[in-house]
Amino acid sequence: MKCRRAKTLLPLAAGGDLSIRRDKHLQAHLHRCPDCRRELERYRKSLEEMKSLARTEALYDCSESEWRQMVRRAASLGLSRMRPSLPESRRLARTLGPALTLLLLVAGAILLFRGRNEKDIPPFPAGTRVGRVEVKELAPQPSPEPGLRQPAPSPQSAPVRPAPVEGTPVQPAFQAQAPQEQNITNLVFVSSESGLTIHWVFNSEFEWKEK
Amino acid sequence: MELVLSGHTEAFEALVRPYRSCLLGLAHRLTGNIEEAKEAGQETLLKAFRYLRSFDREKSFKNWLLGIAVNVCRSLVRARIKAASFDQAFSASAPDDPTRLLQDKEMRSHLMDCLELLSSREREVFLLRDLEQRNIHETAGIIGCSSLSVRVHLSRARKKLAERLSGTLRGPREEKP
Repeated sequence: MKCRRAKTLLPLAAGGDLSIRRDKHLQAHLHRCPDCRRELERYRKSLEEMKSLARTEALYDCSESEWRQMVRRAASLGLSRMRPSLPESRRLARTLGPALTLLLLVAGAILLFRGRNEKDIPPFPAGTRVGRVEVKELAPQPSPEPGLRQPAPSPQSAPVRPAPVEGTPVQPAFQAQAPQEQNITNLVFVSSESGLTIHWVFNSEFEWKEK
Repeated sequence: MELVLSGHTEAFEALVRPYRSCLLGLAHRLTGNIEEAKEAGQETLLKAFRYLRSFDREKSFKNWLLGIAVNVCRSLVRARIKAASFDQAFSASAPDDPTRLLQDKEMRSHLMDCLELLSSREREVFLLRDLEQRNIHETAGIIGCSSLSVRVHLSRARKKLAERLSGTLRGPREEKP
């Protein structure tokens, strides 16, 4: 440690306010530097002198009556300005109230959001009753002789559209299992081979006419 | 303290009496005059009574009280400086009361003359550490600053006082021009 550094530490060293590590370094320097030792002694003397001055000189103190008056005034003013402490139940309500309000707001926001999602689906016209029927495509019959290709069914022999017979009502190849009063029917055909999906939607004005 | 908190205000006097001289003495040395010391004492007691409920009982009551006193004195001195600068600006200062001046002069000691050399923070640190015998951490807690800041201001204060005292001891002939 150099003298310049040591001199910055001397005022604190005079009152014993240096850390152990710094004090050790300073002591090592003081051991070989008489100038810094003298400087430290000067600081110690001045500090002792200030302390003795503080001990010998009269410390200000007010009279007993003044003191009592001060304390009385402090107590009376303090009482008038002091807030009354809240009972435990009200303190609890003050703490839990905002938390419950926040919880209700969050729950309301979630419900509102869900409702909006449902509203995004366009509604059917008023008075509409909807039925949904899914009919799988008829799987091809296994050929009696393996290796032979089954001839492609002609439009006349298609099972889904049988030839109408006069006097008898038109019968589709599949019967929609839906309530009779509904006015929209959705049919879905799914091919088991190719995965092709066909959606048919019939409304109330649809009339089947074989032409 | 329990009595005061349960509503027995007369117990407050017994609670603060042990710190009376320490409190008023510190206020006088920090403010530098008797009127402000009384005012600071009154305000400190009032604040101590009002905030007694918030006092942490694991800590020192004396340090807590001294902390309030230091803050009150600081604001009083600040207000006085502001008022003085206002008076100077408008040259409308009222003549000082001669009785008060005499009283102040009687109380003005060599120690007070030395303390006038210090800045307000240096004075607070020096008074608490060296005259009230608080340690560095306690002083930092009372003033409301870091231990490092206390060390810096304490070092400056001791240096200034040593220069002043060695100058006084050497006498006017040896003083530097």
